Amino acid sequence: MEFIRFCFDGVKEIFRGGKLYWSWMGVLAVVALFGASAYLQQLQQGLVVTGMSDQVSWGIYIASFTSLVGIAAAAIMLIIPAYIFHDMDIKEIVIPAEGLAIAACVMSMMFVLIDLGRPDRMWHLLPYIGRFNFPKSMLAWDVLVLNVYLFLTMIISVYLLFSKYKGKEPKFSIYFPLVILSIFSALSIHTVTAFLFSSNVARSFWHTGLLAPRFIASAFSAGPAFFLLTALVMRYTKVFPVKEIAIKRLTTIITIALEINLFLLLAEVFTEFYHQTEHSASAAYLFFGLGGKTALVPWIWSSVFLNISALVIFVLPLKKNTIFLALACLFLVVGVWIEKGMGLVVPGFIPTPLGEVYEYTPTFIEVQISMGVWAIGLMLYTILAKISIAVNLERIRLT
Amino acid sequence: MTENRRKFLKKSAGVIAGAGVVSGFISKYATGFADAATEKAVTKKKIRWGMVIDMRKCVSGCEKCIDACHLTHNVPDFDNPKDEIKWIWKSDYHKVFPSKSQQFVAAETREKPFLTLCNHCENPPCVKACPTGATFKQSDGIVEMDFHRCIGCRFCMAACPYGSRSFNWRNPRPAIKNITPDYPTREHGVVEKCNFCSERLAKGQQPSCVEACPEKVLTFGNLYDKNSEIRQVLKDNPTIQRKPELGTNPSVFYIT
Repeated sequence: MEFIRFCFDGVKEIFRGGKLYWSWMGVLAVVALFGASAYLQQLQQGLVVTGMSDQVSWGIYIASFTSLVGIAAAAIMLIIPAYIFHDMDIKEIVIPAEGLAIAACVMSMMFVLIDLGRPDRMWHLLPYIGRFNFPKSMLAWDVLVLNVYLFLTMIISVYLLFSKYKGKEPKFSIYFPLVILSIFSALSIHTVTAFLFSSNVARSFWHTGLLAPRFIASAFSAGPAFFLLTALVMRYTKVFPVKEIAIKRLTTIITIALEINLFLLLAEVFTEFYHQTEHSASAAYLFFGLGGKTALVPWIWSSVFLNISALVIFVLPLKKNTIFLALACLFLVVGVWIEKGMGLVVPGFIPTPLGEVYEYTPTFIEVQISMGVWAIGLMLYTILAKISIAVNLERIRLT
Repeated sequence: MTENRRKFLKKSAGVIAGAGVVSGFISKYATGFADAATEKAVTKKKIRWGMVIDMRKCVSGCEKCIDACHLTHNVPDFDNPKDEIKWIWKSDYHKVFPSKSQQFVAAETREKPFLTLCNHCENPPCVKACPTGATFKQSDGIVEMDFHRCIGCRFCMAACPYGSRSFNWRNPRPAIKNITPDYPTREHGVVEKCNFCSERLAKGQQPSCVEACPEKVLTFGNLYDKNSEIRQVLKDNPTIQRKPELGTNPSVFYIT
């Protein structure tokens, strides 16, 4: 009964808000509708409306999926200090961060769904009814761990929020085992997503043991950066008084992860280029172009530039300035999104196993659909963050 | 016999399944049970179908094998590389063998368009990748596709080291010139590739490309049968396989 009232109050909170809130949600809804109409077109005509081909058979959808899994996994960089080390300052903002994880998880699943040629046959992935190729297929693993992680994160956040709503301390014996499980499943979603690529012997660009550690490192910098960005917005709009100390903690986490990520990237680049073999062809195409084709060159160098600029701001006292800090976070999020998307998924296919260079550029429809997914994800995140803040500030509670 | 029955079940289910969920359900169970039964029966038979392509005999410009295959299997002809569907096709030597030594290769080899098709690997990476088991290895070594179970995730295309898989980016039916009613047509959103004519093998026939070649370029047979013609050809000639370093063990061999 109390739980029903909690849900009811939560839903009521969604419809409460100022002009800024409604215009934000309104814009997102319009973008989402545009995306939905483009998706209908894709459903009718098939994936021919995309820029993908037999040669480059994954594009911006799988690229976005890959980086969003990272954002989803990164919530544990707040969960660990909050629940393992009982850092009270991080604890205050951990539930909005879990909201981000939920939204990112949902978005990444949507990106996989829109990438399918036959979404109507999704049920083939269900065990017993379909023939789920588990444990052989890495994609089967990914479906499993993503669902487990989403489920765990939802349970934990609902439990913590509900406790706060009732004005009770959450029970350690209930949430702690769940938190431990969710830490492992967060690591596993990004590891398995990396294995999705590194397990392919056909694509030497992906076939490296460094891929999973790189995925984790980049996620643990870009994920908290994305969250820090939204935390700065929350503070600026006076929605939630995020403490300076929490921001400092996040900055430290981001900086360390960013440094590790760039080190791993450097090691990879060295190995590819010191003695260029035919297996370095994709890296050569990515960074310098191949056979006069250079579509990805501007992407990767922008990513390098964005990542390094972010690092410079993070290691200098410049980061104390909110504008610079926000800028660094934005650079990092976009930089990593490119590095893991257009800079990882797409060049894996170029050149093809037959040595041909076919390029890929997303079509307008692909961009439209992707933006639609982002809009839905951001709406979801806004709603989840709004409810959790309202509970945290005791604006809604059991009376 | 069981193999025939399995094919029959698969094909009849395929015909029934317009794409309907219910018929898909039936086809899945039909193949599911038959699969387990044939597995045991055929391990004793020890068949692994393979092919030797003697490129010395292959005539540049002749495409009879390709035409025969594409007619038999209702492969659409789009005439542009973006939508193209290929089961068997001709490519450059250095593309088919990118990891072979390419310095000072004889001009007639280097400049000749090489035939290429699915290798029906003994250890196929595509089968491991597929999340729904829509592509699977039969007990006779053929890597098959169930067009009705494919969800179109294209993981198999990322996994294939030979570029042997094509995706139906658009509805293929309008681009099929002559429809052969014996073999199903596909819909948009699924992957397809060469099936070593397993539907013809079931009837005791040779693959249509082998039959169509006037120069006897292609030798098809059971690699596990020591006395087969294909084993004799392999014994008498030095042959190469594509990307052997990947450990996929292709069942297609080349004489260059």
